[in-house]
Amino acid sequence: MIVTRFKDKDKVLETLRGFKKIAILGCNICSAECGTSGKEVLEDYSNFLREKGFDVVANILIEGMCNTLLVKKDIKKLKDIDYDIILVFSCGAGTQVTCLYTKKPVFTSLDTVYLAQRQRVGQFEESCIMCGDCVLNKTMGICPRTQCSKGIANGPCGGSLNGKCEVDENKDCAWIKIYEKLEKNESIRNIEKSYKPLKNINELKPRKDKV
Amino acid sequence: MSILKEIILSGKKVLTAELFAPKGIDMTLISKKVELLKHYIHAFNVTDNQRATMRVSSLGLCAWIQNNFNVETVFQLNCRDRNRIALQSDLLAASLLGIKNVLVITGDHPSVGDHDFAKAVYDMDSVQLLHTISGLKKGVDFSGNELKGNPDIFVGATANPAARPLRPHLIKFGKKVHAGAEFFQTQVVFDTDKYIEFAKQANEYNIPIIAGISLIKNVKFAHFINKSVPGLNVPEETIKRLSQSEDYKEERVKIACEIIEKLKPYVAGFHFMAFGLEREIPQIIEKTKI
Ligand code: SF4
Ligand code: SF4
Repeated sequence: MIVTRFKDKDKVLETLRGFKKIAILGCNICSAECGTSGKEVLEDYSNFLREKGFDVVANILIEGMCNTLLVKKDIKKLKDIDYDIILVFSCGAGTQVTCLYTKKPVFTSLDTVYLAQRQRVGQFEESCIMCGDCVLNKTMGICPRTQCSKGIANGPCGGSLNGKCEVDENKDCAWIKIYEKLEKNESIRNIEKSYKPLKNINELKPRKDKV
Repeated sequence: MSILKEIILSGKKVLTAELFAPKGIDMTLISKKVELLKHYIHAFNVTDNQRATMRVSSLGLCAWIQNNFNVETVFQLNCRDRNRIALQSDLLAASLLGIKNVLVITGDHPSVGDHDFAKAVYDMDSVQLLHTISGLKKGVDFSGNELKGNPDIFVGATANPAARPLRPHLIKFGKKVHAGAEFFQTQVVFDTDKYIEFAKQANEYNIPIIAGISLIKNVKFAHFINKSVPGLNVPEETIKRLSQSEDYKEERVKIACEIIEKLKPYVAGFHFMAFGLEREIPQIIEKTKI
């Protein structure tokens, strides 16, 4: 899932200055999962905006705002509503999708941060930087691009001491973890060869796929 | 050929000293250090934004020192601040400026330095950079394009003999050798037993290793190192010796000399990281007759 965080409310208010009628769209998948969208969150935020003098004229929850078809369908609910702007509660993809289907300004209340595993309710950890050259098959499922602070492909670095990472003595060194797991599985040879620098992460953006 | 390489090949112990690049362009202190040490050591090794704090670049300072003092330098090149284009182009520039030695380092993470949110590049890691340098020396860049005029570089890499578990670090050591490292310079050695355990295995690669030697100013400084220098650890015993000795200044020189004596059979030379105590290096060199 994609983790999002709330922007500072004062910053959002600053963005909204000069507008009056606000339509709210929120994603009911990832953002709802990490507490930055969902029914209650949107209601609370609507009340907050009303207190600040805005008119919240619509409040719509969509089952996945990165999905153009769904947004296109649900945004039709705004057809007969008079609004100045749309305020979105989703990842950056959802905000950009919304822009495709309205001529009015679209703003987001969230910052999009990373691709995560959900460890339990409300607890997430980054797991993949979407490097495009996945090495998990060689590293026993431990992602060095994400788990190693430097994201290096031939670790450990010189700062690794007693299994801990140089940036934080409470953080395990990813490369020692990889080494230990490979050793247990008699696959040390996987890290005896040198890995080449990443290629696909530097592809021309935006990247596109058609399947 | 680089003097460093010549001495190593001759079998004599090579001696180098680290210079911390200053923050700003006031070169008074650096000049004093170079003047003080240039008759005792073979080359000055200049740090490259060490601990991720912004300073004069290693490349610039190496060239400045070579021009002004007529001594050889070692250009430290970190992978943190440059992508593959900048790494190679700085290497060519170094060669053009007459810098013959390069020490490849990964580079401390920006979060430990003074520009917390700087973009950490790590487009290449140290192993990949060594491979790339091997290519440049043969006249081809990373993408396989031909160079007009190959750089002449004596290239080294780093190792931390105290890092445990040792095996993954030795695997990486082997990768660096395979990638073209011609010498190694180690992190400061405080624990000689750990060093010897490391050297016995690393020396199988038959590659010159220059051991890092440091002077620990005082007990406070030892605690600072343990707390804030990645990968370094002053043993409790050393701290105890320093705190219990009558003359800690004499004691710290004695400690350094003892370490050198113990390491002599295992190393190609010594690299001094004096942390401001450069004036004590000559006596150490004289006492240990290196
Ligand atoms: S190696 Fe790349 S694709 Fe695989 S999990 Fe890590 S970042 Fe994601
Ligand atoms: S200590 Fe380990 S996890 Fe941390 S940056 Fe170095 S190699 Fe990566």
